[in-house]
Amino acid sequence: MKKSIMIIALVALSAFAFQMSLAQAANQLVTLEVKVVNKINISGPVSLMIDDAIPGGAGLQPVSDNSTSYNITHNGSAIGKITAAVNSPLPAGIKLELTLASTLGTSTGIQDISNATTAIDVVGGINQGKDATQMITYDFSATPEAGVFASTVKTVTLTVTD
Amino acid sequence: MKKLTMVLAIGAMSVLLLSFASAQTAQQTFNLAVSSIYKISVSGNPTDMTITDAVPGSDPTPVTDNSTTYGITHNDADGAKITAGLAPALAAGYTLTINLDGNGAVDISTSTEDAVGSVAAGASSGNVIEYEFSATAAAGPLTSVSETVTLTVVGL
Repeated sequence: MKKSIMIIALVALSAFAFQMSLAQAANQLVTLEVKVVNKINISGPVSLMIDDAIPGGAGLQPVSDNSTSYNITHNGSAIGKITAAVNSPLPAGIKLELTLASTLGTSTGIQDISNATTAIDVVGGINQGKDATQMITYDFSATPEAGVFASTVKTVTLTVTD
Repeated sequence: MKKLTMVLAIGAMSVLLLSFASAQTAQQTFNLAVSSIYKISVSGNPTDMTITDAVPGSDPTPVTDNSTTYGITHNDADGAKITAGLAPALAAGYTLTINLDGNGAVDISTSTEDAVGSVAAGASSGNVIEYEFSATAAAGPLTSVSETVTLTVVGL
């Protein structure tokens, strides 16, 4: 009886050892994190010049430009926005308007940024995601009374925030 | 004459007995065995992988780590494989891949996968473990989380 118990025990031990030897594992701890990432860039500069008038005395011919675009990556809140600001105000009678297209959020439409030294919203309700090659449209106009406006470099700053 | 013959016979028998006594052997039986052996270890934990940047218009820039290595020993003539798994699984939009010593990146975000399909019997060390962590912008931020990666060597 004792002998048979010992044999069974040996067989059980052998089976256990065999199982143990079939595979062996090692563990590693990996720490992962994703920070809030809000990124925007613009494809390039824009040049706008008024050099004509509307026939019939209807004022100067406005010009527009939609040759540039912006890209955005936003993973913060689900209600991000893009604001626009100009580095210094334009003189009276000179007007610069900005429209940003958006598929990730909702464009606020044409926005007058002539005096927007304080940022104004141009796109709202931006979801978490990415948006590439979204059109930027500038409309530049002037009244005849404003006179000649010498070539001036202005900086428009687009900012994406949560 | 008879007496002399008997003396000679006894002398001869003594020499023969002496000859037998000068060599003797003993035998022992050995039972030898080498079990199937599968061993794998890692050099430590990788550095924290934190995504902090993006190219505008693209998903956040993935981060990689190849600061750790693994060593493996096995003696299975049929070969072995190494599997890799992650616990707990990552949420949708987050991806962790592992590449063991240049055998190709394998996505282990949600399931255990074969990371090396066939390893011949032998021993090797210093094999590079490369991780790549990526996330979609739509997935949003991820608070720092510790995950356990398990490498297992299994006979084929």
